[in-house]
Amino acid sequence: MDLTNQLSFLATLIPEYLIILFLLIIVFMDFSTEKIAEKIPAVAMSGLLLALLANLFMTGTLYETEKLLAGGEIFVNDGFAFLFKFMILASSLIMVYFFVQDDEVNAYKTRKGEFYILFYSMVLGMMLLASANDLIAAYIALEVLSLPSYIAAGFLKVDKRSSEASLKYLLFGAVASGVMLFGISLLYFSMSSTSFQILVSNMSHGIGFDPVMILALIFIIGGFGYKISMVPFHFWTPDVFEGAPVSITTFLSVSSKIAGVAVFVRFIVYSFAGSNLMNQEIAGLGFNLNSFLVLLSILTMTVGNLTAIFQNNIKRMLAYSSIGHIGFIVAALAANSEQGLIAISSYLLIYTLMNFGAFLVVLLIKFRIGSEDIRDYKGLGYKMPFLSVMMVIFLVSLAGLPPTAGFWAKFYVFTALMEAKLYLLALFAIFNTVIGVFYYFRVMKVMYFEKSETAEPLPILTGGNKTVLLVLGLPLLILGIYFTPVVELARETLKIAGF
Amino acid sequence: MENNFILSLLLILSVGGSLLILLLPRENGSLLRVTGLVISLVIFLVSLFAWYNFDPRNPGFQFVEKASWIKGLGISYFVGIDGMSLLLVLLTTFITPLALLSTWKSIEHKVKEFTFFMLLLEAGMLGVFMSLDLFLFYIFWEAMLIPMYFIIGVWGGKNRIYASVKFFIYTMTGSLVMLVAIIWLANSGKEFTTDLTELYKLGPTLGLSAQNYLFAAFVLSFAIKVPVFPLHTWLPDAHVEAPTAGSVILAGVLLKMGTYGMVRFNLPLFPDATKVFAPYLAILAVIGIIYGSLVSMVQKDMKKLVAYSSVAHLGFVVLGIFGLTTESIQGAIIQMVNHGLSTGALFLLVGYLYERTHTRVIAEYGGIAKLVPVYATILLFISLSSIGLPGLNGFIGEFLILVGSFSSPVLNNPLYAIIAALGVILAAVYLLWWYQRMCLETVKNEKLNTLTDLNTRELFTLIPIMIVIVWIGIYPSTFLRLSEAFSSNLVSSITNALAK
Repeated sequence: MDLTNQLSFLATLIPEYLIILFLLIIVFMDFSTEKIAEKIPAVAMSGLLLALLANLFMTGTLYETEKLLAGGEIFVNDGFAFLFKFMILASSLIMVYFFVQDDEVNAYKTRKGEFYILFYSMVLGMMLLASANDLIAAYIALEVLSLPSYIAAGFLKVDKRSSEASLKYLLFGAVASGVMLFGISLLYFSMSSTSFQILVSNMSHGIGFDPVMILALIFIIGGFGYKISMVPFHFWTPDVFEGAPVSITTFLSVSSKIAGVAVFVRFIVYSFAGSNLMNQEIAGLGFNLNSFLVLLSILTMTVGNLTAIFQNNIKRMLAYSSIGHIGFIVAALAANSEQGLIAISSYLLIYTLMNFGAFLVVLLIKFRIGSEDIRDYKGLGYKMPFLSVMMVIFLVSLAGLPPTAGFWAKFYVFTALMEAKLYLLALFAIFNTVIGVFYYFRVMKVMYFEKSETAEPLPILTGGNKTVLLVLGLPLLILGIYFTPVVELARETLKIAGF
Repeated sequence: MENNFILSLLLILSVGGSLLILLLPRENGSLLRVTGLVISLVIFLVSLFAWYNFDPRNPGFQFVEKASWIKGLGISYFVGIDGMSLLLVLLTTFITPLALLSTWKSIEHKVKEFTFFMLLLEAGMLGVFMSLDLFLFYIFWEAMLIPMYFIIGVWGGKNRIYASVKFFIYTMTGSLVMLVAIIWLANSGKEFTTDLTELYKLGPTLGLSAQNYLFAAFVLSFAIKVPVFPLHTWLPDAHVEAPTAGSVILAGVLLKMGTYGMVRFNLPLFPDATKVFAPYLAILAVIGIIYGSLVSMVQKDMKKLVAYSSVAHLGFVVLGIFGLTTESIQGAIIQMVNHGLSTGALFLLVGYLYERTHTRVIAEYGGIAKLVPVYATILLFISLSSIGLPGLNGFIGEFLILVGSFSSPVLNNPLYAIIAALGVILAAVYLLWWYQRMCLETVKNEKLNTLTDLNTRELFTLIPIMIVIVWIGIYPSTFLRLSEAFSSNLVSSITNALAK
């Protein structure tokens, strides 16, 4: 690699530099007077905004030159990475709003700086994940994301559930990353490389699957699967989601999953794309990697959705439902086609909006009625009309019904599945959508069809609350009518990525 | 044609109208009611204008509008109507104002939301009947579920929550199967397309097994909506719990979307599969006719009685559709309209009585003909139309269906029509017996002595229906000629496809 190429690659890392810079600024602010420390959220927000703008600018130049900026072998900055970094930064920006609103977190005034430092480390980890192109790099990025997450989950340290969440998360996480590291070393043992592309290049030289490789692959998929809570690596999810503060739960179920999906998709696509390895039967096992993904997808969506039905805690319900959504994304990945990748990117964009929306409503309700139990939502539809209408939009979109964007997201997954002739998977996807309708509508049912026992008025929403809800909700309706921009964006970025 | 914008205008008026309702003040109930009524009447007038400009001799689609929507997938905003859709569009725009008018007293709280949902529902129903793009059709089909869910769930009776969820889950399951079938079908040509006119050419060329699967997926979704026995169990619950206006719309228009879908999609898209499936669906239809009538007979709740009679009446429609002759399809189409009118009116009458007495148990009534003579006369009139008395609308539809399916070459067995004809007799039994128990005999219940007869507003909701009932009964050609070209064209194209 020549020097100019190297330098231009380094230039594309400007958003990451900005994040590191602001991370340090926050550290210093935390050390100084209380008055300065109070400004941390504002500074955190502006840092993210700058990084977001820088990222957009990078994408702009990328569009102009149309060249693939595969600057390093360890990290790649291509259209796919930029799209995901855009999602990560935008969602982190909204996350700061969540933190400001989350009174549970705000109760720890003196630890505010600490909280944002953790958050910034997570953002950095996620951005690195989005462009990781090497197993070691992916592993490190994953740890940069995970370690602060463990602490953040237990941020309310006097709260038993929060501490439990943190410990569980840590234990599961440690095992998962250990297993993944073991998988990486096994792969290195048989391939003498840790690059994502190694499988393709070795296979093209006629080396077939051997048992060690299969084991390694399963371990690595398990490591990634843990991060995006893919069944059967999902056991940490519900308890952690219930125990952690609402804002952290939101973060873990939305932002951190975007990054997890990014690296997982890149790993699968780079390892197998352009080859028929996905469909090549593994000797002695009677199935191929594709059917392995299909199996994981079916398990993930079915377990996630079925369990969600029985949840009364809305955070837990959304947690399980997010497992179900991951199942849809893995399904699109199993389609192993361009259409499938477009479906993944569009799905994630919409997933971010609607999940953020739903979680924000949960958070706002929690600090008004003091409960996260769905059964306590009785009659909210009339007590808080605006909030409830927005919740309906988010829930209808999560359920995947027209005329919301959630429908289109699911539609493109279905299209990809039908094109790839994965009919069984499509049937499971239908089955799961119906289950989803059932439990999402249960929330609406309680809010609108059941009468509240108390008549006391609730604290009203601030203008800021309403604006953020509209920012999240209106696109779901507008894109629900005209979805093409999302798909075009996904297609463009993938084209530049050369997938 | 110059007035090409008319269908979009209908949609814009109903969606825009519902949004307008949202802007009005919540406290002013009568303003909301009047605005809703006026909007729905304007929509009705516009649809009459469409009728006026409609050319009945042309079997193709008219007032066609097309605009690209999703380029990559060949999906477009594509609407147009032919004779069958025109009749159903007219039915929708005709029933909606009446349903709105009927609720002036019964819906007291949340008038704003109610009117909003009713107009939104109208937009969804109109969209379903006008879409010529499978995808657009699907969107309207699904979008209409949400207003109905709320109408049953918020303004319904005691068991409304159970009923609304059951309604939703049933329909949703069917529609998702249809969605997958739509994607499959759209994908089976050279390019992904959901344009119905393109698919009409593509569908019949598919192999038999593909046609069978696709047919089954589509028909499942439609059969749930109709509902065809044994998928009907959501219907009695939904009807009993829904508020009067909800029942009227449900019986009057919503159920027709299922039968409409069968005629619009199943028959022309998959002619070979239609031939395979027709006898089975005809059997289910006949079972539905007999079963629905027998179950109606033993109902204690009059709303349930009317609900089960819908299962029987729509059995006739399904039999007519799969009789696959010009007469039987003509009969099925006019019977969709008839059922909408008669059953809609029956639900209105049941609702008015319920508003006064708060009971729907038949045994608590008796002899009310003396107390409320106008009411009893109208009830008799509507019941007779529902039974199919010659001179009223029901007769025309049932007669055409029976004649058509008797000599149907596809069903090839007169037994279907013969057994179905029993249904006509059974309808007389359960409706007249009901009438006897309610209106004749002596007044046993003292509470009934304070019963008041229909007021002017209520008469205004019923008289237009009665006029149309007589009109269809005496001079059906006004309506039959609208769908004639369509039906004969459909049958000949299926025959041609089968002959190949």
